Amino acid sequence: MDTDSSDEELVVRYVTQRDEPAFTELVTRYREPVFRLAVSVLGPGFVGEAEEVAQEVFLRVHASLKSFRREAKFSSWVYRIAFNQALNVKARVRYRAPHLSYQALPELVAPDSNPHDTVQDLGRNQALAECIAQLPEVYQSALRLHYWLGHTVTEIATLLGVPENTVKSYLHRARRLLQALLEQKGYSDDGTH
Amino acid sequence: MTEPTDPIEGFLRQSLATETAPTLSPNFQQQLGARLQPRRIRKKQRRFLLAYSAIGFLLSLGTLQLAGFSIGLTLLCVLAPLAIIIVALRPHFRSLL
Repeated sequence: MDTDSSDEELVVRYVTQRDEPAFTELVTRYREPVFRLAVSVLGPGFVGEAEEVAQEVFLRVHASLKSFRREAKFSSWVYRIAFNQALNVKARVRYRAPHLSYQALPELVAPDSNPHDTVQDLGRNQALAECIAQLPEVYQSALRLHYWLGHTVTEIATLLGVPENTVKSYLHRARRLLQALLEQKGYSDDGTH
Repeated sequence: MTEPTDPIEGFLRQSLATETAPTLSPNFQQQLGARLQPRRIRKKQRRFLLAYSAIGFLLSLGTLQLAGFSIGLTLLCVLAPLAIIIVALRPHFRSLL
């Protein structure tokens, strides 16, 4: 595996010599961030769809590498395709209820949990999920990348293709909007009913 | 001086952290590799498709001639839709050959 070459060198090698290992290396580098970006757009209930988005992104990249303009960074180009593709899929699955991940089941039926607290937590988390779904797409994505997937502001800036200050502003505005939406639902800003 | 913590931050961390962080399936790359393989049709299938197209083409010509269409109009009726299909599906023809 060629881990030393830059993305742009790998692109040139693939386009000019049809070097398949160069493309494989690009997929290896970007499959995880592309998937995480997709899942941040789609939300926690749509992990399977996010994986499908990641597949589609690489099929599209493979088909249009020749038309890739090298003045843009390869990573920015890939992330833009991923974000748009995830938005397209989200528009299709919007009205479908998310399925519960099997990984989440043990958390719901933890034997030592108090049933009253569990129900209260579920209600609160559901209210939060509904409020997040009302935010602009880019705010939703920034929130999930930061608070769910644990990405730093710098990493989010790279994934969304915006400056770090813009990400900080997205997060700040998203929190303020969430606060207002939660208050409308009767929750205080720390999540208590 | 430390920045005061936003109460909603704590709520977000607590609430979103209960969701398991997703991971890609281990066979992601293999699945992608399979989808990137060009699909080629077998010789037998290609012959069948060509024969089917030729018979369809001749039957259409014959039927339209029997219906009293002029040769020019007959050719137009048969070839124009064919040309549209060829233009629309051109990117996929490479995998058929």
